Amino acid sequence: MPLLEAEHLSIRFGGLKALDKLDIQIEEGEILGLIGPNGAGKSTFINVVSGFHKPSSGRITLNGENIVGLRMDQIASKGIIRTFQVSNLFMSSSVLRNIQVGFHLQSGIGFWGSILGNSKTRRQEQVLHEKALEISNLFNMGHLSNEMTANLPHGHQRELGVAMALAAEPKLLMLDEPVTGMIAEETLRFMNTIRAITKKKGTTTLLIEHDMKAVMGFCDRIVVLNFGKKIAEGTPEKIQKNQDVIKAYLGEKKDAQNPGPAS
Amino acid sequence: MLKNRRLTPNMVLLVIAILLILFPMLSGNKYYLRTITTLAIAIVLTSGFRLIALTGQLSIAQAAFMGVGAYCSTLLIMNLGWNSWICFFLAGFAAALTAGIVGFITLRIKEIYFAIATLALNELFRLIWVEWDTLFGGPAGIVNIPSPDPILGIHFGSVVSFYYIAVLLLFSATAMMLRIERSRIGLIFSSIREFDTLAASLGVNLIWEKVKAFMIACFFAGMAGALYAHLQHFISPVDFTLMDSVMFLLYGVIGGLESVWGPAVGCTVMIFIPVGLRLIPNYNPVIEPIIFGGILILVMRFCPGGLVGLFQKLVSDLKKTESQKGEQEHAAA
Amino acid sequence: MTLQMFVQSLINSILSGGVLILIAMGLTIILGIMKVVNFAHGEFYMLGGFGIWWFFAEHGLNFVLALILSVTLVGILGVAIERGLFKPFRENAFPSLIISCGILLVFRAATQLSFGLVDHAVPTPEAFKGMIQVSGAFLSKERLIVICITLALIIGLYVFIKFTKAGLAMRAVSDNPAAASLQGMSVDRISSLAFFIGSVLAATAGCLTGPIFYVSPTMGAEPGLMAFVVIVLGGIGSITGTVIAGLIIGFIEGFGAIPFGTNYATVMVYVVLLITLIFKPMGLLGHAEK
Repeated sequence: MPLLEAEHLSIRFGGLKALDKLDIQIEEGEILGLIGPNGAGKSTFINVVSGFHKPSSGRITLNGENIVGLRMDQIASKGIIRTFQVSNLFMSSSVLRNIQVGFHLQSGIGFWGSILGNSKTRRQEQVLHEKALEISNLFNMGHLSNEMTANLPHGHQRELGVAMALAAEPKLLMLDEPVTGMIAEETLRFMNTIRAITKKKGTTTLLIEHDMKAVMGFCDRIVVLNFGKKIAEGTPEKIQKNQDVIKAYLGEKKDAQNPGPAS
Repeated sequence: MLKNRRLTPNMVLLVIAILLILFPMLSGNKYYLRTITTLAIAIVLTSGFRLIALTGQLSIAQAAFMGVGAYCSTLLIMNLGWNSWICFFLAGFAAALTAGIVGFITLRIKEIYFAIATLALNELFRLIWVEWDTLFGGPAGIVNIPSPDPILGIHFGSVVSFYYIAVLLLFSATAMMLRIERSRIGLIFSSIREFDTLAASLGVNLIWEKVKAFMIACFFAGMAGALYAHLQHFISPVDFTLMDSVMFLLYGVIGGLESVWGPAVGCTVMIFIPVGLRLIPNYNPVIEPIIFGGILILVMRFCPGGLVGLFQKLVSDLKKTESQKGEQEHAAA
Repeated sequence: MTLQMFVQSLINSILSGGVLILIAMGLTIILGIMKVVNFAHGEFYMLGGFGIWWFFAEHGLNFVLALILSVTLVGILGVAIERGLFKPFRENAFPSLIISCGILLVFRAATQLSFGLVDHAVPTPEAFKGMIQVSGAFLSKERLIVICITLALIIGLYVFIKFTKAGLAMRAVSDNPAAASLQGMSVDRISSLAFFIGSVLAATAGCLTGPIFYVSPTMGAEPGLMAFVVIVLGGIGSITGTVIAGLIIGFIEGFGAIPFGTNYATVMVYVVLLITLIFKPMGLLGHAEK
């Protein structure tokens, strides 16, 4: 049984079908790339799975259990954690505090424990503090842990978003264009880090990316969307040769030569 | 240079606490004792307002929850003859329970609905107290509320004893607020205000956390209300109006909602300003709302961080210029 | 219930509903366009009432002239407040709500300081005097006229918002201020216009009801609060919802007042609001906004 299964998933915004009877399976432990041109419905898929949008029709099951209709936090507590494409941080808090919020589901510190601040709580808080430092070290941000998030350079901000999601120890991690705005070197290093961590922990990962080349080397399998529909699925090598995929991306390039309305 | 004689917040707190405890022994002035008692109650209420604001919500019904506590405790003591100290806590629970019910109805949606719903709620409670006169005494209110029951032979009838109860309530509420602030609870609360969708995506139950903050705040509001009832020996619907709720908002904003000290600073300044003004001969208190409203507008317009925020900014500017000076000296040498 | 009582309740319901709608319409467009929560909106109603009392009752100006004068002055005051105080807090509901609390305190106390805390009576204009008999029931001509003017204003505003260019611009700004300003709409000007219209409508309501009720510094408190209840019940941002909710509340108050008393009628309004929010958290016609 796949970890997550979406069946016949559709959602409309006004007259627009953002997802159209989409079927996607994510297997336990794999890194699945979800790619496609702008407006293909990639982010919408994450938004629907994470409970931010309600699908118009279709089912989503996690380990066979339906999750459609649950609130975002309920879905998160089932182990599905997502990152956001932009401004995905608590900007006026320190790096460490950001990661600390990520621990919300794992902290194990109850209300009265927090209020009383007894030795057990203090020990738990110490453990969390160390874990937070550990996570920030994974992304080479240990020295920045007390820095205000808004002051971080862009690359570190993107990394922090992923670090927070990892702190929640997800079963399924959904990354919405994590490398946007990064230069090639940074992208390579960051993707390697993500792959190393998720493979080590066995975290199933859904990676959304607009730029096909950026993710080719990192995904076990790739699903390509266009206009809310799945147009191809398979190993990176197969996808690269797929005519439909090439056409979908070429079509976009043609549009790019005749710039339409500013996006 | 500054380092050696720097005051830590904890030290300031300790000094204030000792001063508050010693004050009745130093001065027997009942007017000031009563004013500080009122001040302590106001700080407890305003801190509650701030706690709710920490989750990104504005509650303009804190006076009504104070009233819920006051009426609850008064009625249980006077009609059923229960021990006043038990009723004191029950008042807090009654207010928290009411807040819980209202919260689950109104906190599910955008913030603005909650703010407006609390406006309506305050008015709703007032009307109930006015109209249900067989139980709540109507517009005339309830008179002859007894002093709290004695404990171990200590009687609580005097102004000084009320003063100490109020200070104790203030200490416990402040301790609670500080713990919340420095623990995961506060972290989660402020994460909701900063970016609710992100908090939810990390598993934070937005409704429950907001309701939690609301309930804690109203618990203390209820206890403060019960204390107020004993202190005045008389309560009526005009003690807990919408305008009183607006005053707690005003105190909080003027003091600064960012800092846990804001409510205390705001209440102290705004409660002692009229005390000072009334020393002026031929003073007309009608002018007070104009001064209060004016200060509120000025604070919002020019230092949204409130007085505490202003103070922090001045201190950090001072430090900056000092360190610059130090650098210059260093460079010169 | 006799016919006379029924008709009277009906008239009172429509009257109070209409007045509420006039005040609430301003609130909802200001909230929709600028995302400003003006807690002091009821004070424009109060100032309108004082305007008609000052110009018409105290200085003997013609009623219509006094109305136009006081409404214009309140409108200008509204724009001045928008420009001076609310402008930095557009799109920012809470700071604007806090500011408006300050404005409310200042207005109410300033009026009290100038005119005292007593009720001031405004005489009924000659043309409004008398009763009309309709199939056995006597109706006050004054109330009927006020209702007609109120309804005309509501319909006028509705048409203005739904069909004119300026109304269209208002709705565009309300939906998406960034996009609207990209298309060359002046958000500044539209905000001022919205504030002008909102304060003028509230002041008109104050002028019209001045002769029916009394004028006092606290007269804005209750309708101001009730106007918030109207927009939440109707659904924030929905003009039609505002009209429906205003009428519902007017009818609860008008028909509830006779058997239960005005206070219980008001309690019923709040209970209706809370029950509605349980089942329709965004109000009757509100839609979820992202």
